[in-house]
Amino acid sequence: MSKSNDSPHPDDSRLKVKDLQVYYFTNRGKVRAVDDISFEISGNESIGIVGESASGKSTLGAAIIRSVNSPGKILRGKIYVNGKNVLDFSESNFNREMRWKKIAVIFQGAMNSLDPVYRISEQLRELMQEHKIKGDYEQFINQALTDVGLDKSVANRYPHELSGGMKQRVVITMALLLQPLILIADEPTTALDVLVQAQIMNLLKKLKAERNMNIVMITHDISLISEIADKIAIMYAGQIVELASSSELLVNPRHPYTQALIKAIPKIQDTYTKIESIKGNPPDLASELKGCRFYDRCPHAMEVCLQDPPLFKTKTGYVKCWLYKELDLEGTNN
Amino acid sequence: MLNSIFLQEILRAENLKKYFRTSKGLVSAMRTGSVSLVKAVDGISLRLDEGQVYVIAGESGSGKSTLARLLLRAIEPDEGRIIFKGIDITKKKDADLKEFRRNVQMVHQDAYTSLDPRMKILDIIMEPISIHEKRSSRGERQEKVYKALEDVKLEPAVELSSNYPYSLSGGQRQRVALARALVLRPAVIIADEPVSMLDVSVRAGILELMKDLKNRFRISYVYITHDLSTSRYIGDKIAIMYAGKVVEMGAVDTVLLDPLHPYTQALIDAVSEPNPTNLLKTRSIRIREGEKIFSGGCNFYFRCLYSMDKCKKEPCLRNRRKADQFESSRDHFVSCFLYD
Repeated sequence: MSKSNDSPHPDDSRLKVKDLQVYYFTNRGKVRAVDDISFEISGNESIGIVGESASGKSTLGAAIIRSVNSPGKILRGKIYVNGKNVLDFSESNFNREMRWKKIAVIFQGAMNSLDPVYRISEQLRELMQEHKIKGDYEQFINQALTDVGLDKSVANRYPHELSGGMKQRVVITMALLLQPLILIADEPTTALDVLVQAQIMNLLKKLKAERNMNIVMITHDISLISEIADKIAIMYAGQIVELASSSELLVNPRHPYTQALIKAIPKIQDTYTKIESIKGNPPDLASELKGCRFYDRCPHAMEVCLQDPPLFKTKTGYVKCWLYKELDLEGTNN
Repeated sequence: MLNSIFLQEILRAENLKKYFRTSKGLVSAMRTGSVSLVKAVDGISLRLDEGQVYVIAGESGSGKSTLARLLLRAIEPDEGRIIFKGIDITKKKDADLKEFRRNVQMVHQDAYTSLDPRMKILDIIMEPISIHEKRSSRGERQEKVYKALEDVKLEPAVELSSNYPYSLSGGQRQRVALARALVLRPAVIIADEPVSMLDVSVRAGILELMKDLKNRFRISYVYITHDLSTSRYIGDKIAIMYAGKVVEMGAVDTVLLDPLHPYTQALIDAVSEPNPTNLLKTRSIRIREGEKIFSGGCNFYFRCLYSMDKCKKEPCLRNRRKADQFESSRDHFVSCFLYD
């Protein structure tokens, strides 16, 4: 499934995030929303970033496209897209060369951000003008709408004339209009009905295959992510606690938090397995954090867990948990 | 209806209807004077028994929340009857509804907006007692609040009750909302998407708590949701709603494991569960593109893969009991010509 995971710098590396740190400087103190995060995807891999509310997953997505809003700040780290560190670009160069062209984003609730007083075609046109695209706009628009399964006539409609699912398809059209390499999708189906949600996921799957595009999907829903992600990163309290190929992570979850998360999901076909909640709450990211951040809630907590666990290498990724000290394949790579 | 001999009926709806008038924009309304009718709840009958969880499942716009408000008598039905413990309360005036109001409580989806931010937890949970038990002393009321907080496993109750909602997490707030619903020991709690805003890890705890309260206090729930997985987990019976009508109803296990109506089948097709094989295939959902509502016949006509000519007439909800089925799944109703 995922190839060349083990080589440190695969040639076909598409997105590489290294030691990324994003803090919010609030009057309560600094909130460690993204705290030393590293991952990499190559080829046409997609990655799912799974976490619960306030785990830092949306901040991570925003950081990749350099849209962290004040009081948030990218403190350190590197984000390589096709080998170039996007944090090295000046703002105007980033806008000109990268934003929407190389990396596009669908923010949470984006379908409500369509401008209600302009027709869909006008909004798509504006995007192309802004980026000085040359060619037959009408043809581009027709093609783009057809690609996401919308009728050409949608171009002449206003957002309020469209259903939620259609609006979300328009948002996807906008994100894909300039043929980006990487699409960041932050909860792209959350506000939609079940049937529409499944259709949008099918659409993303299809686009991923057709366009050789990398999707970074951010969600709280581990079931949904299994539809599209080759790799899954589980975030907890600002950190990735486990990263693995999705086939490995879903079948053999290692981190106690991942295990608990999967146990908490009720399944239609199975009512005999009792679902379990995770006791307690995640730590306050503005407070002093020492050791494993899952310590208070972990059924396996040991004395050593008071020290920050390094990333222990696994077959397809890593796990940030002392239980796997013995399993570490190549020594700690922290 | 064999079951009915053993179980005590608590709440029954008979052919409930609620239509809303909407105008299609100011201009067209002025020009043509036309208003369109939204049939939010269009002839729904159901029966809730003691200690039972009745799931009302449907997508947005299916009318499930309107049905909840009708059952609460928060809004008046255009037609139909609501029978509580054998008494028709449809036309009763507010003054005569005390017993009903006390016995039928509500838990909302969003515990961030359903709890008054300026009230302490103690006062939030005490409010219903102050209304329904005017003669009780403050001390008695406080004891009941503490008891309710313990029942929903929010401890230490005394300290917690002096806090304001902002200091609580989403899951804790929903527990407060449950405590407030519970404090009068109602017969029925109507819960409108009570866990859909909560994190997955917290959700399980609230569902477990609801189950536990049901068993301890013989509470019945009307559980309104769009989520079939939690329905199976908590529900006894289920009604699938589409455009104001029930298209299929029966025991949860029967309906979800052996769905008959094409709409129910499509809903189940759309459910993802964490499984690595999902990645390798396109999810096939048995539905086609089309207008949401066909009026005058089967509402699902345009989107159904199996629509036939006779679907242009209105189907009715019929029992599809099969001879070989277990007793528990005897009543399985579906509103579809495929099974006529």
